[in-house]
Amino acid sequence: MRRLGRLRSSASALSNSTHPLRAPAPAVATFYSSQTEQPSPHTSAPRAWQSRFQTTQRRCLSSSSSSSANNTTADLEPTVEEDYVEEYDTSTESDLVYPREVVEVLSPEEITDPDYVPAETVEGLEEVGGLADWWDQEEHWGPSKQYAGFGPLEKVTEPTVLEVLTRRALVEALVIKRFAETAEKEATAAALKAVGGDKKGLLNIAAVELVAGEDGTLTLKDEKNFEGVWASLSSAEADAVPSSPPISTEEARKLVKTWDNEWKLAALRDPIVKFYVAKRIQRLTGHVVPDAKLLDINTPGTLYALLNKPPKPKKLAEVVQQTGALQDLPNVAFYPRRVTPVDKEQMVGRWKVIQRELQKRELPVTGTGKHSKTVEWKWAHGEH
Amino acid sequence: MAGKGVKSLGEAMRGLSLASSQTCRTMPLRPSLLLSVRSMATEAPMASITRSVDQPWQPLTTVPLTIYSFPSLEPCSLESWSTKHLHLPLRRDILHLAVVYEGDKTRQGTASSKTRWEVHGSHHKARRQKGTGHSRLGTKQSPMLRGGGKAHGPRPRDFSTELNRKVYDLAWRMALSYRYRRGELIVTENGLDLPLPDDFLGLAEAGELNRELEDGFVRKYMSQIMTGLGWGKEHGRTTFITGDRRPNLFTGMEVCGVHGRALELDDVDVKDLLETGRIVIERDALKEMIKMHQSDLQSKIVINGQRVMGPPLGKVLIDA
Repeated sequence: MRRLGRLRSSASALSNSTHPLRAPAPAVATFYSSQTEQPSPHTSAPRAWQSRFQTTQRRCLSSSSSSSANNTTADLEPTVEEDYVEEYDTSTESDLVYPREVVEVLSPEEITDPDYVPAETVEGLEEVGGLADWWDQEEHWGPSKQYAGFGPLEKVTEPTVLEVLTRRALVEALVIKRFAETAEKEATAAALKAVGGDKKGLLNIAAVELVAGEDGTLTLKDEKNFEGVWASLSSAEADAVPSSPPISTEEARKLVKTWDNEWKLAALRDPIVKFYVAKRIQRLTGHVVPDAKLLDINTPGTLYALLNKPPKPKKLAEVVQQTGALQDLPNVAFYPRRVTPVDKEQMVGRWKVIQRELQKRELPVTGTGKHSKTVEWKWAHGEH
Repeated sequence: MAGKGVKSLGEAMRGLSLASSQTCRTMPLRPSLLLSVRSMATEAPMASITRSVDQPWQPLTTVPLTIYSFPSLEPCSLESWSTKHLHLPLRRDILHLAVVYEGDKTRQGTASSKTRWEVHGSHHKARRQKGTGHSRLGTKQSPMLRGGGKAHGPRPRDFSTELNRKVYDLAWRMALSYRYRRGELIVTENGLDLPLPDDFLGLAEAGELNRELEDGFVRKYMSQIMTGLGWGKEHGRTTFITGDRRPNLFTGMEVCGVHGRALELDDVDVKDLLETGRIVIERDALKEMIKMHQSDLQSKIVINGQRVMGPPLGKVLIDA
């Protein structure tokens, strides 16, 4: 286990006003010692963070590593560490805004000034802000630090758009499967990561006809399409995932109407094709298809049904509201939460009256207030 | 004879408005007026295991396992694992046995109280035998007295129970299989760790940030990842399992504990596999875990110089 030493001297804890990484920050949340201007060293031990460079190294388990590749990496590691000078490229532009000149207040035990008199009341003391919510403020947190996954953060849920994208993923997966073994790795990787933000490309690929082949498995109707789709996929440039699909619901609806149902019934059995489909689906729609679900998916129809299924409601009340059950029954009322005694009073319009009368007598409206329960109640319940 | 029997049966059935001329096999299913209105809430769907002789049963032997990258969750490679490793049928009783076994074994068992012979003090007779009007009393350490010894108190002991190794190993793989089936087993590439941004590391290295700021940054950074992936608190938290301690990930999960926990492989139990919303484990850790818990699949008996070693530990279908 390699770690970089992150021991900081107390001098490094001092603010360095000429550091190139420092973004201009407002002088907020600075701590000043009221008695002394001397900054204190950090009282807590510094964390040992690991750089990205190290984390990308393949680490192997001490006992389980049996593959030669892992052993080679392990052998190489000391060399790598030696070459890797513990210096960060401090010229890297940072979009983080952090407080300047943080001076931590000394604890009362550390103060040596004989004139120091600790305050006994909070009145008259200067208030300074803490740093607990420093990063929660928008202007401090860099936009490049936002999480970006493999697929869009917002899943595509519109059924027709989802159908178009599913079909596109199927076409692309079949094409990638055909060329993946012979093509270069870079081309396959580019094809699998293609986002295809433009509408024209999407329509071209979605328009490719999908049929059941001789053995019933899903394939492209026209052999020429394989080459065409591969050419557009493998040449796709790496790009960020767009937040919304390039096709509107209305356009998707029109497109879906032109298709028959045959493509949804063809067989989809090859686990490798299914893997490519799942990867393309994740890239295009943001839906992650678990492996166990891939096992059950045997046709494009079942795949689409899985993606199109709304998430399971968390509460029974949501189920009832969604299905509209019980609503036709005249003698059944439905509430999403428990009907409390207050609710019952409100229903008959008595609650305001009760409230008014209780307040008039200076009695607590809810609860018992300062009036404890009777002694007899305690006796009856075994509380002494 | 048979005709007479059927005739008399027909007469009997007429009273019940049932036709006896139809045999059971050809009789159409007559929907009962009362029962057909609604289905039973607990009714199970018709099993699809019934098949004819000409369709031989070919059970599933392997299941696919996608290896993802972290934190982008990009599917990187595909492997094929035996159903005996990752697709075992669930037996709650076996999982229960394993969890109880672990719980028993983990009990510290150090509760201890002093008997009358261990309580400090003189064993001189507290008062004379007769004449005080009080009951007979030997020493002041008597369990009857306040400050006296405990008559039947706890003593340090070993609470551990026994469980057959093959059952325990089965429980491990069953817990993994349960997670797999529910889509809650996410296997990542080796070297699972939290990659922190370079500029933050530069600032931390230069000592520009104090500990509060460092932890605050990592907390927010980790929270964003967990929320983005749908792995956070609102989705039942996440357990990360790695082969050894990864500083960034482990410290990140310490400061961001509401969203999950990180464990080294040696610290993992069956109970840990059953807790939290999902298990995120690196590939080699999973392999090691299964390798260490497959005694029920392996044989110790050598026949012709060979012994059954169980199914292979994963076969790569698509390499990254």
